[in-house]
Amino acid sequence: MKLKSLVLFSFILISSFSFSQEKFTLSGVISDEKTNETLIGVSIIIEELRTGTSTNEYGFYSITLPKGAYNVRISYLGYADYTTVIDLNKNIKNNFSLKVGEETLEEIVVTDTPNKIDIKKPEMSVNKLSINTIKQMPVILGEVDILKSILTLPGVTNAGEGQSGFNVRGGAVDQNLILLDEATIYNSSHLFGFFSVFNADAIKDLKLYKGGIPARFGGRVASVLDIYQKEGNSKEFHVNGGIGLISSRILAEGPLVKDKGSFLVSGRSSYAHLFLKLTDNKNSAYFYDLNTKLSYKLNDNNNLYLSGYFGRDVFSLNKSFENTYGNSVLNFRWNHLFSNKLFSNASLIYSDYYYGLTLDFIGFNWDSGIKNYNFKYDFKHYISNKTKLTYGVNMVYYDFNPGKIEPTGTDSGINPEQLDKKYAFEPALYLDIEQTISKKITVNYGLRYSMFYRLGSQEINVYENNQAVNYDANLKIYEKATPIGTKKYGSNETIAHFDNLEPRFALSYSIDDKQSIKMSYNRMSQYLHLISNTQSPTPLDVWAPSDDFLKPQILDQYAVGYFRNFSNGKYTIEVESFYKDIKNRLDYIDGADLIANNAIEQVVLAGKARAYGLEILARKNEGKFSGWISYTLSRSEQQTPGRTADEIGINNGNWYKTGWDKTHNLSVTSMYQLNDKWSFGSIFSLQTGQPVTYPNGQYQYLGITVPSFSSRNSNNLPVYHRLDISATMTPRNNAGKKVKGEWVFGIYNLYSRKNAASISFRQNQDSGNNEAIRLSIFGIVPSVTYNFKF
Amino acid sequence: MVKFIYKITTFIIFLILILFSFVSCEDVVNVDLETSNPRLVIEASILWQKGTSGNEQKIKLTTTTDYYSNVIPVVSGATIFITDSSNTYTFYENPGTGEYFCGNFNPVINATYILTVIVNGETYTATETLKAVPSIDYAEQDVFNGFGGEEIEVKFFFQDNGAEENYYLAKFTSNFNLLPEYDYFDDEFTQGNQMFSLYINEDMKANDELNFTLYGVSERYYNYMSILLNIAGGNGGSPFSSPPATVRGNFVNQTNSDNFAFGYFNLSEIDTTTYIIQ
Repeated sequence: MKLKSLVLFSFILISSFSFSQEKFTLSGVISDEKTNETLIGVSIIIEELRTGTSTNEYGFYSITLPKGAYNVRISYLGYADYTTVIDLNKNIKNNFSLKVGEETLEEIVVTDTPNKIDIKKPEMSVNKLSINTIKQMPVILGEVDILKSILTLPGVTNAGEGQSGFNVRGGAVDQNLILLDEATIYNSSHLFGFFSVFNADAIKDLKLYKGGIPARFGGRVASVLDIYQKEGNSKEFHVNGGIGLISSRILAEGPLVKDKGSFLVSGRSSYAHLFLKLTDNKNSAYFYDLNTKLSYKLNDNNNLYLSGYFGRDVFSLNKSFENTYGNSVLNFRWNHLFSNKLFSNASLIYSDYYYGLTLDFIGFNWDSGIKNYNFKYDFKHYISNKTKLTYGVNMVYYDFNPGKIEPTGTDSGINPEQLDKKYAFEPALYLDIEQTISKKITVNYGLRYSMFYRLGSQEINVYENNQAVNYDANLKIYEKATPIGTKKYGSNETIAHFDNLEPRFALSYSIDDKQSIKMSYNRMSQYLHLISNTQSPTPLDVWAPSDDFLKPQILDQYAVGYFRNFSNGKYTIEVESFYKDIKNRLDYIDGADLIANNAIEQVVLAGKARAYGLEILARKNEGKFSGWISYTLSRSEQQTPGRTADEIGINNGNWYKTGWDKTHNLSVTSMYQLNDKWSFGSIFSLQTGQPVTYPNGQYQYLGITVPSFSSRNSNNLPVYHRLDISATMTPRNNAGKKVKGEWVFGIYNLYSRKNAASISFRQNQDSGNNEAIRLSIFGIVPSVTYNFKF
Repeated sequence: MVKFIYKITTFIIFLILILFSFVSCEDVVNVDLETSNPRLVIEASILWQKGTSGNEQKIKLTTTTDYYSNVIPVVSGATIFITDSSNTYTFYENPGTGEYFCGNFNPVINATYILTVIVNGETYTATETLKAVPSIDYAEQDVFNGFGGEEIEVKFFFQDNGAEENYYLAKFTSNFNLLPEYDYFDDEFTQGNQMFSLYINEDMKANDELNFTLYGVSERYYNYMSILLNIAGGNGGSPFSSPPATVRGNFVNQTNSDNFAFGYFNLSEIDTTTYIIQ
């Protein structure tokens, strides 16, 4: 009897211990109280345990804690903090609605600023710019521009004025993965870089990963720009927009089914060309884009989204030349909660990039593009408050049309031709684990396994010794090799295949509450190459999939950084240093003909690239006067030695600076809220001039002057600097009016510096003398925009 | 043809960029440049005008010099000769000019020739084939709707030989231009068709004289000229141009392979015509 009671008692004792270890999950969705927009990256802090979590891209959070009562504090930039007491004695689903924070005029002293750096998260080399901050920055040409905003961050630059795309940590423009609601965008600029393709009004949040890229991203080696659109206000119908000198935009959003379904439609267009028409000038250049989204909450565990984007740029010169290009995307997503710890998102995406050119005076019409079909299934598994898993699968099928040439009429001398269409399939699996090892150390480690299949049907050239480029040892030049035959591949037959393991690792060590050291390593592979040997991608550039001749680009990046918050997050400083090297970076033989080339392999050579640098970002996050200073010291270079010791390589096989290398890059952004009517902003940029190749001599040939050159990119254009300012005027009586308006005035390049976009050397047609000509594109450019909402 | 399309497109794109700014401009600026050691330049363009004997030919020898100089140094006292399968043709200098002449050259379509130039004890050689050219059929004037409004355009028509891959060089000289202008194209999209070479110039007006010369060239010379014209055209600085490169011709320095010569040895049959603008 006594033994039995002893056993029973022990059993009860033991089970009561396990009972007291019992854990429950608190989860839910956090949104804006007025619009029902879900909020990304909201901090949920459990005061007693000094732990917490944050909402994911769809506003969902989940945290598993031992049974007990806790003070839960929720905070997010731009919103008032919300605290509540949660008695966690079972699994609780709690959705929170946050109220927009009231702007006060006095210096804001907040105990825990959301803008301060998350010291503990191993996330590094990431810049998150809230859409509100972007909207306060000075606008150029009247439009809030996401790409221009990220250029004020360290490590981000663009090759020059009037050039599209952006460069991250010395990477090329084709090495950035640009995602809009999970769909890939191929060309991020309208009008050669003057405007980005993103309408800031429709954007909810964006994050730029420069390094420490999590395993769920792959396919591009330098960076990830992850942009999410708003769902649309599911409570009330609203319209907002802006009318500017060069372009205008309008957005309408509202409920389809109150609190359950919403829509958002926004459009933007430029119309400077209409002014040209008024002067009887028959040329035009304009762009337009359209963002649409439908969202529907089926029930507590299921959400559906359908989003679309359509953008076009059109140039036409008096009917003899017409050029149209742009992205279109359609995607369907389904959020499903398998449990309060397992969140999933399935996406089905169709994306299309089109480029078309008609030259009527030659009788020539050109169409090219890329279509891709993409399926993603991503899981976020909130196992415990110390461990979170992210895993999933991503598959893309590509259909490339490098070009279709057609005569425009019967009298055209052009023969029709279809360049070989190319097909490929890129599947990948990934797993990422974020773990809090101790009070001071958090790690994030993961692995992505990516594969690439280059598929038929296609007829592929076969070369002697598999060399598509010949080297003439006497003349020391590279030339195209002539194929010795072809090999036919059937539909979906594998022509080449690659697979790569991409480990990712990041660690954060918090020295104390205010400062930490972080380090990361990632390996990325990129199976697509943008075939271009110009500094700025022209729309004529073509994307080519990897094959036996164009091997995938493989990158290794190492980064280490020091992060510190001062005065409770009022000031922050981030210092990061990075090193990356890339294998299989394509380089081109001299005189490579890339347009309408059906055999790119005959003009490319494989080389390598590397970049390294130091980035400093110092920010003042609160108060009437706020802003940041970013400085980057870096080098970006590439080398293409010959394939054998005898070959000369490109630039004699020496390292040379890439066209987007910028030794010094300084950007100072500041914002000043004078009172509730006026606010001001300014951006000052200072950069080393672009690398260029200057002549070191000349000679005469056939009656014209020909410059001769030294090594590639060994000179620089003059230093680039400019100052932009803006002022926003919000009338005081706005609060009471139905239609609220504000005026935004801006001046780009305030002191009208003639920054050199290029310096070319040529013979003067009248005098025959040689001269250096500097081209500068923008002088002082004022802009006025009227923004309204109702 | 494609190169032409690319160039026109690049030019137009660049013009459009300028459309968007209020104060975009081009200024002549002072840029200090270094000067490399002088290098030999051999301009050996052997041309056989249809309907002539092609016996009189000229080769020029000069060196590179500093970029801003107006004086091009000539090279005198060199030994120059061309050999084919049976003969040797010697070139004699007009003393002190750097120009070397030959009076008995024998041009044969598709024959291979070897040029030898001996300067300062170093021997340079080059090998090329003489390429044929179709005759120019006729010229047509029309109106081009360009960026600046209406401009005059002239097309010169000729029949491409559908049996082979052809490469062409075109030269335009006129009474309104100080310098010659060149263009290069192939028959990739126009194989076997009647092709045209297009010339547009906003300065052209009625009664101006436009001279057009069509050259048949080898693929290697076509590649050479495409790089050379891009560099010489001053496109070196445009963001849409390819990186400028030191363009190597087809000369091999048999004595010292690093000391290469600029220029090219090419042989082309040519046809010319002069058109008066209406």
